[in-house]
Amino acid sequence: MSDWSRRNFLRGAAGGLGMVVIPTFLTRSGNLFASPTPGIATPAKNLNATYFATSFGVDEQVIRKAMTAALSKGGEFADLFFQHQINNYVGLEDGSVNRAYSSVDLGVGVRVVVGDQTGFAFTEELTPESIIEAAKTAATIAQGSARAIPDAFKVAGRNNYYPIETAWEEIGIDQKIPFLDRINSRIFAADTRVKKASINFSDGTGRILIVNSDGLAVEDYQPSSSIGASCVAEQDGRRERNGYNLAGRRDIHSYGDHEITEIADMAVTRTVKLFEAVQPPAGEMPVVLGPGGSGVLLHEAIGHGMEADFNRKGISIYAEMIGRNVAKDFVTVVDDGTHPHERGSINVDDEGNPSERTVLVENGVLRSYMHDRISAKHYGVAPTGSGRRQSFRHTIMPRMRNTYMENGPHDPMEIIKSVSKGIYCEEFTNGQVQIGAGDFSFYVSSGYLIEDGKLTAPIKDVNLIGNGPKALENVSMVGNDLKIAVGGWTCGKNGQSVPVSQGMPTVRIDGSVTVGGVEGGAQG
Amino acid sequence: MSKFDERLELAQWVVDQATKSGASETRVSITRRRYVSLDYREREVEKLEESVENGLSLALYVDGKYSAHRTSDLRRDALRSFVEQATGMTGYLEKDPYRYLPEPKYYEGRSQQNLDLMDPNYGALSAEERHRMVQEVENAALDAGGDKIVSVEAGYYDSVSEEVVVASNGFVGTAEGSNFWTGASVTAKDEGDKRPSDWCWEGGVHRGGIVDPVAIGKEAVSRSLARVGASKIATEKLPLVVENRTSSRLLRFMGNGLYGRNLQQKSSYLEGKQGEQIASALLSVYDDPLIPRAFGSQLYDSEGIAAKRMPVIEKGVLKNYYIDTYYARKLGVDATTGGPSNIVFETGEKSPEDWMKQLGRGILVTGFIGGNSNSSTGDFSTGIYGFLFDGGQIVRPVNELNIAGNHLEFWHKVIGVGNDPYVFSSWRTPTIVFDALTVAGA
Repeated sequence: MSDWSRRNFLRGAAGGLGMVVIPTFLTRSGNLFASPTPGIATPAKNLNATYFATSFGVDEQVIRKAMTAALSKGGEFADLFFQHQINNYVGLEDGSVNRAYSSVDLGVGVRVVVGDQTGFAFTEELTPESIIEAAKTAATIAQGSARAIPDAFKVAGRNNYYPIETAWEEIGIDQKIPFLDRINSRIFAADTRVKKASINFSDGTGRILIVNSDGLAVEDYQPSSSIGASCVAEQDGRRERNGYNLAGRRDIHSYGDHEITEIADMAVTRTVKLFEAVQPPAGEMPVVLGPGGSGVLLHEAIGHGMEADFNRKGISIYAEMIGRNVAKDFVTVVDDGTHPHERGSINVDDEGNPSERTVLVENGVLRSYMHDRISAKHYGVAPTGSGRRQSFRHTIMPRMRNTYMENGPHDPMEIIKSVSKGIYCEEFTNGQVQIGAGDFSFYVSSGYLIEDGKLTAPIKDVNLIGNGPKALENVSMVGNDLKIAVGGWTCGKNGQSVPVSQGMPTVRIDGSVTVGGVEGGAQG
Repeated sequence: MSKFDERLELAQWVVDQATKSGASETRVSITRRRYVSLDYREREVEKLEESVENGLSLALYVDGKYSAHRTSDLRRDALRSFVEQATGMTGYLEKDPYRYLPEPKYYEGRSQQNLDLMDPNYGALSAEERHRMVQEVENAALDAGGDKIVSVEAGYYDSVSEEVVVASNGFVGTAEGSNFWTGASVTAKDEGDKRPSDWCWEGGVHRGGIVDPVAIGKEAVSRSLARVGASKIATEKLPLVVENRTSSRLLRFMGNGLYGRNLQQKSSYLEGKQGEQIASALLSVYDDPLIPRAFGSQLYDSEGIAAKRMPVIEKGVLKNYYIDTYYARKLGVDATTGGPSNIVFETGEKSPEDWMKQLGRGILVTGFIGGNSNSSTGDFSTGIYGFLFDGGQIVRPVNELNIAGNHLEFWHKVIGVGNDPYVFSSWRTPTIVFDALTVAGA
């Protein structure tokens, strides 16, 4: 309940800077905990054949009893969100694979809805008694007489945007360790200025089952993984640290020689490049965003503001802007949960709705918010598959998935050439937004000055600030080189974190953005 | 029989299971948190939450190898296989000669003080009283805001947590605590589509920490209305008066150079600076875990190190780092503690208003946006917002501004520390005043 928990932020995992680290005894996760019925599940046909029925005895009978308890006070709608999440982490530091962390989360969250009102409770014990108790607690949001539960629950099918061959539960820690050793060796072989390297390999296996009082039931199987490296280099008494990582809903076959080389070489290249870099000058200037990670701009400048809960409450700057022209006609911004294997992709959202490609801005016109069930009902529109939650311990909110700008008409080189004095942004660590005022910021860990149409001196450690609608309006050129960010981004909203990704072609923004450099910074 | 007995017994059982599976040392902590959360909007409950959360954390030291694990499934049969798998997996790792439980000397000298972290009347608090508190906040905000505001989101939260810790080399600890919060976030109307907002939340370890819900609601409204009409100013060199409730953000940026891991991994700009003047002599900062009824108070830290007051910066001189036992061994120094408990300052005499009068023109910083800090070099850059003051008086709200620099220069610019430590956080930061620096704007 601190100030922090009410904020909305986006954080990258590339490891360059690290937010303030408060060491705790256990934070991240490690390997080898197999579920009772491991393997890549295909969705069950009925409630007695789901993962939670066969592994934990949560069958149709238990679910009917829980649903009856949830609706016992007259709730209009109820849903049960079962989750079993197993995370593993193995890390190398000082040349040795000397740490592993793991976590297991198992439980169910019960939600009861009346109009815009929500009652919520969860339990970590999947016994009929505990589930019914949680349902009774959530039910108290309503104060009427019991409502009937559906006669039957139909297990719905779903698409699969992240098919994998081998489950992470079948991969032992001994199969991951060689990746860490090889990346470490390559990093130290690449440049003698490297003094320290940290490498990590994490994977997650999530199983969810959503059952609601409309009679819908949906199961999903959600794999995820990430390999990252960060290194510290020294030159003339100066030290710099930076890193690189690959993340997505992928299995072990996605990581091979090519990826090992990419991670090691990019971590080193990005680190030693900083020796040449300085903080840029301060003030407003044209900003060119390189392709990929600069989608952080969209996430902050428009993404959060287009989440429908903020608009339903009237607290977003975009609350009355649907249908308005907000950018040039070559600007199209989407939030897409269906991009294959991306970190922010989901087959179904955490309310059981199919994922989709939601168009936020189409040819410059503001089109659609991102909805969860409550907001879709409020606005009388179809859900957009954007209802997400950190875990069964948290409640649903509209959230982003993979947010990116579609390709535009310009050649990336032409965009850089068009700027006589400005900055080019390449790597980002984090961002933040004020939903109502529309002010956003993002932190550029690395980039270049642009002088007379050319990239010149490298720059680093600079925060950029602007106003969402103003920045969109000032997007003057959009390249044809869209790239989705490969690193693992995590989005925070009201204290809940979810995995996301983003993307961007090369884009030019005119004026209006303040570059938070220093007086006497790198001069043009 | 203490209420912790059952979980102490479970923790000891897990330690024994780990030993049977081949662990040479083990630390187990079991936590339990019960919470209630209420959100109100438009004079109705928007969301009501109530649950109990359990967790078991396990640190394993197997033949010189180390791993750590967490589970919410506390059934004994599930725990037995959890411990077996965890121990087996640890065997694949490489030996790390620096990994073992803290030397018992670090456990010694634990304070017997009663930190008074648990409100004895927690159990007596009724659902009606909880609802009444948040209703008071909301009604006060709605009444004060009238048609100048778009939205009030009021909330109430309380929780009670318990923890037991058992380590195989003799450490046993139990702790419990409660906390209570209420507040609101208020969004105001502005020109065009802008809807500036601000918040006020207050609370305490005891219910008495919530003094006046009505005042909280009014404060949230006046803060958000004060943001109406904010705009940026041209880039200018100006002094900063950084409000108490937000100045911790700067200190956190600075603090990322203080951690053992960053020091050992050559990623700290503060390496080798112990005993040196790293800030203005006006700055004295202490880590104090033994303050009764404070949010960050504890008798031992997450490794079991006995808590004690520690100077971090004294008259601008760097006195101590935050170093846990693992990185202490790697660095060849004594451990202090792995992370902050309560942060307290030696406060000054003047209020923010006094400082504005004295400085004439500058920025009163009431919030930060984005920003980050490079722990290796000390370079930082962050967005700020707040108010422009001139002639000692607030002139207008400002936003979209940024400050940047390097901590090794920036903290020498401190020209004053306020008389107003912020008590609604474990970081009890006062207002901090900085000499003129470049404020980037239009």
